[in-house]
Amino acid sequence: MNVMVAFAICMCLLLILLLIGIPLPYCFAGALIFLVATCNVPVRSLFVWGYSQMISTSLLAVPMFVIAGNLIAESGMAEKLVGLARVFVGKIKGALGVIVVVICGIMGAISGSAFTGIAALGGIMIPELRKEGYSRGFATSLVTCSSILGSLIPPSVPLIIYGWATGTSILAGFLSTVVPGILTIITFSVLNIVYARKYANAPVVEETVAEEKPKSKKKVIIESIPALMMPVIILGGIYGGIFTATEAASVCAVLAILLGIFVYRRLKAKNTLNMLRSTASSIGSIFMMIFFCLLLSQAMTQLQIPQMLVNVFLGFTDNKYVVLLMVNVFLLFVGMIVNDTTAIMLCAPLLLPLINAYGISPVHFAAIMVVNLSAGCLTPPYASVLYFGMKIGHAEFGEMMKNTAVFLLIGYLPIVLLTTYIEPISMALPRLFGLV
Amino acid sequence: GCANSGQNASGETKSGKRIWKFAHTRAEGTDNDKLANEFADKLTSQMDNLQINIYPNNQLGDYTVVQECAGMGEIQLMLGSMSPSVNSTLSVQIAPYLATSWDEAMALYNSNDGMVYQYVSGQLKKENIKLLAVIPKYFGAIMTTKPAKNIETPGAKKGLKIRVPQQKAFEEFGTAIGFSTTPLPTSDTFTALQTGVVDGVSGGGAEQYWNDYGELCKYLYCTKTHMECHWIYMSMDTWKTLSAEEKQIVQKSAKEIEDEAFKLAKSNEKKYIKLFKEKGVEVYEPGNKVIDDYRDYVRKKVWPKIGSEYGSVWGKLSKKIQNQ
Amino acid sequence: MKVLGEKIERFLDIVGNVCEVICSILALFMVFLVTLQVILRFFNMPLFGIEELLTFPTIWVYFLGGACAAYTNSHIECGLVKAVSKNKHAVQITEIICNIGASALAIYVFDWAVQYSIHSLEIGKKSAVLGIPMPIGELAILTGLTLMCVYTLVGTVKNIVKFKEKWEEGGNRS
Ligand code: NA
Ligand code: NA
Repeated sequence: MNVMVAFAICMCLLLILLLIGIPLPYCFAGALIFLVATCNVPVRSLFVWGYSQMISTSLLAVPMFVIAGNLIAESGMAEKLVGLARVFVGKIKGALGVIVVVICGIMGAISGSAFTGIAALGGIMIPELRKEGYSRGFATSLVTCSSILGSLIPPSVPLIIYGWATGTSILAGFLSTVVPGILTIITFSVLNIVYARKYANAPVVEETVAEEKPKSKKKVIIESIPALMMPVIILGGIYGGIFTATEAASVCAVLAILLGIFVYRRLKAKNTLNMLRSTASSIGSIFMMIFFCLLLSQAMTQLQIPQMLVNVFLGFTDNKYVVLLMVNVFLLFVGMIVNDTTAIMLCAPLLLPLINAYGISPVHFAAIMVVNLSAGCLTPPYASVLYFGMKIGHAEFGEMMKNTAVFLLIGYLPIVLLTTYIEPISMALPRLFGLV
Repeated sequence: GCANSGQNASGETKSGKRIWKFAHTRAEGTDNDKLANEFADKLTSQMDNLQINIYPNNQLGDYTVVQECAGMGEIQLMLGSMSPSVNSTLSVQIAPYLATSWDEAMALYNSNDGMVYQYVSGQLKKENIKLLAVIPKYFGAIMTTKPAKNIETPGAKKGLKIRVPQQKAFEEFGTAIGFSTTPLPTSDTFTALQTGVVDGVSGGGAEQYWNDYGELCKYLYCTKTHMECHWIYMSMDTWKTLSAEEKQIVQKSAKEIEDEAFKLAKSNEKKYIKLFKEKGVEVYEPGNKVIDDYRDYVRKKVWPKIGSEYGSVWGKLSKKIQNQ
Repeated sequence: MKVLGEKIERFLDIVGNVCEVICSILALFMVFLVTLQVILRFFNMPLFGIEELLTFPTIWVYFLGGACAAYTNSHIECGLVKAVSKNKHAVQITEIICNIGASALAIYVFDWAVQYSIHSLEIGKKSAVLGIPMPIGELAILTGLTLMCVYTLVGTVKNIVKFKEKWEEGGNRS
């Protein structure tokens, strides 16, 4: 069979398996079985290669950040940050929503993935927002959507994976999504204020503060200092040359354990063990997917499919922007059906030769991929963070989708387009730091 | 038709057309890439029904993976470093200070009667691999981002932390000549260097440093730490399918590539040092006296500690070298 | 038959729980090992071979974790029918089709893992720095994929039995 035809059928097969609802690792395995059978890819050497990739130190960032993220969520750190923010801006209308967005950004500077924000803030902030008159759907969407700042603000697992898969500088990649991340904080905050002014009709509640036993401002500030130090230690450590991004995650986990046990006293033997057990399942489900995804992408490399794709595109157009538009649409689509890490593993090796052929910088492409794919955890059918948010906020799919669509279309899509077509938005910072 | 249809693991299709995978570890356009292409052209032009697909830049996996896959017969040709993961004694070929001049290197590594070559070739047979040629690269150097102290004195503290390859011999060596060492895989070295986790890199040479860490390099110490060679080898499964005449074609072509590689390596030695200098890198090129000091010091202090890693060949090899 | 089924189920429960606990311990161990190395390096005395040692618990966490995910049924899927359709029967039938498909694929992949493991044992590599036999890590793939396969098959059988019972119930009523 012609390799390109086999590739096309393989992709269709993958889509069918995904959409009928077969677990993702088996979907990739199915597509791989098809390629192996029709184009004679030797399997044992794929496994040998796969093993060597799975044990790489960069990939280790993923489980480390999953553990760290869950520990941060359990440790009570987010609550202290909220307490601090309230001391300063507690009574302005819509301010609570802005606090949510900003603290998601701060959590993003500690954690590597989009899960931490919603996991750490959802439980405490959604009820608080409700008390201020936010609808359940909007409150849950706000926290859930802001959660993607975890991927945009460094450190970031998707960017580590991109750097690893393409040999691009991870530090440069980190910096490339900072500006899009800050823009996202701004647009989401503005959307929130507009909403709060228009629809959040309950009176500005003072009882919320009164309900709890009042703490002195001084105590609140002191309690929040250790949590505030975390981003400083993590980012300072990474850019100061004390540890690599992967090591940052484990340092972060250890700090979260220490804070959780000794300072905030929220980590007890029982909840920690339960958390670790569910962590095992989440790591496993991610890595089975990654493993078969890696094998599939390597089978394509062996068949020299990426080069063939470049030739197809070059024959079709020599306009960089047309290609970027197609890449945008393609990535948004891929983001709908798989998570960011998997999508990068599958698509980065496939698209990188194309990007090179059109003279786009790999660091710029890092930002394009991550900004595009970060929305993927909010777009069904596979919308991990969205579903998780629904569970925490007890929100219905319908009310969730309506509000999330507003955030994505009005708040986020412009940022995706700006990042894709205006190069300095992603490249200015890496250039400033001399990393490109 | 399909380029790969009906192809079995050792690269033969039902129609008799052979398609070989030829892996190498360097980027497109590098010297290794050119040599690989040249070798592939020589073979395809002289042998019937043969197509060779070249996979540069570790596309099929790093040298450890490819060597294992070649042994399985699932990759047919390779140009790259030698992996000691199945047979740890193979790292003897990269032991520090085996040779400090091109003549010495030629004598040890050439495919006619080089002692190292013959040992490697014999051992590879056990891994189901046919060694075809040696591709000498360069004498090893140490590259740093900060100046090293006391560089003229082998045993003195250098005040820097450098990355060493994950081999005990390199750790012993790095420590013995006064660096503090951190073993890191090649894949993590760039980031570690960029962030200052380490101040320098050992285990490579000017050419590799130029390609991999060119923008980060500030100081280059050309102390000829080791002789680095790459190798061309073929899966034994594939070798066995060749006719006697084809075997001769393969070996003759490999030899031609090897001779060319020796000349290339010699001329490259100056080329990359010049490139570094033009970029403003401070290059330390010690005289013979200092090189000899390093050589004697390492042979005396480090060799006794690492000999056990290499098995029985070490006794013969070290005796032969020291008697010269 | 039913007793045997229950026994098997209880056994698999125990195995699943053990996997979860092993993964938890290994994961914590990894976190501390990485942090330890950072601290040691900061004081200029990194331990040689920690990175290599780390690869062994890592691969086991990944693949045993995969088994855990199959045990707790938390492998990610994104079926359209389940998300869209309100028809219970349609959802159930799609689920069974998925179960059967996944089982077939799991068995196919299991066969690959067996081939790979045989190769791994035959070649008997050792790790570069510490000389740890590589099959200790490489057999994690077979172990994980085998357990995943078992849990997928058991899940399929359970679903079919459940469906059959409901079907017969429905038939009796009419
Ligand atoms: Na982050
Ligand atoms: Na999605």
